Amino acid sequence: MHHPTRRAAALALVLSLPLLGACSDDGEGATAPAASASAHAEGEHSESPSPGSTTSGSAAPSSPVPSSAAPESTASAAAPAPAETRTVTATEGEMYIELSEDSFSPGSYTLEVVNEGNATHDLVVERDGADVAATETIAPGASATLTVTLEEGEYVFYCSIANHRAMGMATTVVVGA
Amino acid sequence: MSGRTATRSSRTGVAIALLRLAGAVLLVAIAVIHGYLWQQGYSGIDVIGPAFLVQSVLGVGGALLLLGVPPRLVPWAATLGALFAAGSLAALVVSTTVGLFGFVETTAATLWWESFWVEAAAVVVLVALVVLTTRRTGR
Repeated sequence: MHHPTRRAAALALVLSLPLLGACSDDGEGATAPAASASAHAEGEHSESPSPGSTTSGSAAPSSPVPSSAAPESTASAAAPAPAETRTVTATEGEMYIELSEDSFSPGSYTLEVVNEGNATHDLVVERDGADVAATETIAPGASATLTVTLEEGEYVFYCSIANHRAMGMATTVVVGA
Repeated sequence: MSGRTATRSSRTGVAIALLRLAGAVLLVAIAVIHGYLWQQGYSGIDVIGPAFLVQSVLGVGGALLLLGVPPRLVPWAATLGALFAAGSLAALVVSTTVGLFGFVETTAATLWWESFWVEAAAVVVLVALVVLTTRRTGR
């Protein structure tokens, strides 16, 4: 008597399994292409990233993590126009930060931060003395990704570890129109 | 015979006094270095920051202890100071090689080499003080 109902329920369950699988695939997709697992491991020891930025151990531009905290001012998750997001590599070492780009225009950027040094570093984006985005701490040899929207004006990219900024790990970025 | 023994005892006394003073100065130097680094930005590092502050306090405390205790307790004060300096040196080396509490230091960091030599010297001086004072009290 109840068999048709059970069959229908079983059929619905079977049909829903591929959907569940697809959802879980997407979830893994955000972390699976990690370039360096050590970046994730190192990130466990660090503070949460600043509001308004997206940071991860590897680039995952197709699936930005929604940030629950509203951005303080200029930085925001790159949700609206992922196609316009430009990628800039920031190479860090003792005691320097080198950017792959010289000129910046307003827009969304994915900063791929590579720690080529022997010490722990991070990358913080500062504007008018306030931090607007930051990576987790990055272990030697590891990398992290930071998505930030830059508006016209002057920024400072620096390392906030110990006194690394004072030792030269800071670079001024002028975003022109 | 007794004159020679008195001279040797007097020299040992001078050596112990100098080692106590040198040990205290080196412990204060460890304290000053870590206090300075804490002020310069190390305060923001998890575990390491508070540890630097603790080292500053312990360094000054160890120096006062070493200078203030009566002679019979100098071996114990020197032992504590030596352990403190050795621990600081070990932490410095470990943090620079494999990392400590998720933080990896570099020899290019401010006062790294100064820290290394001051802590190594403190270990040597304080161990020498332990040996000398222990021999003396053992006679």
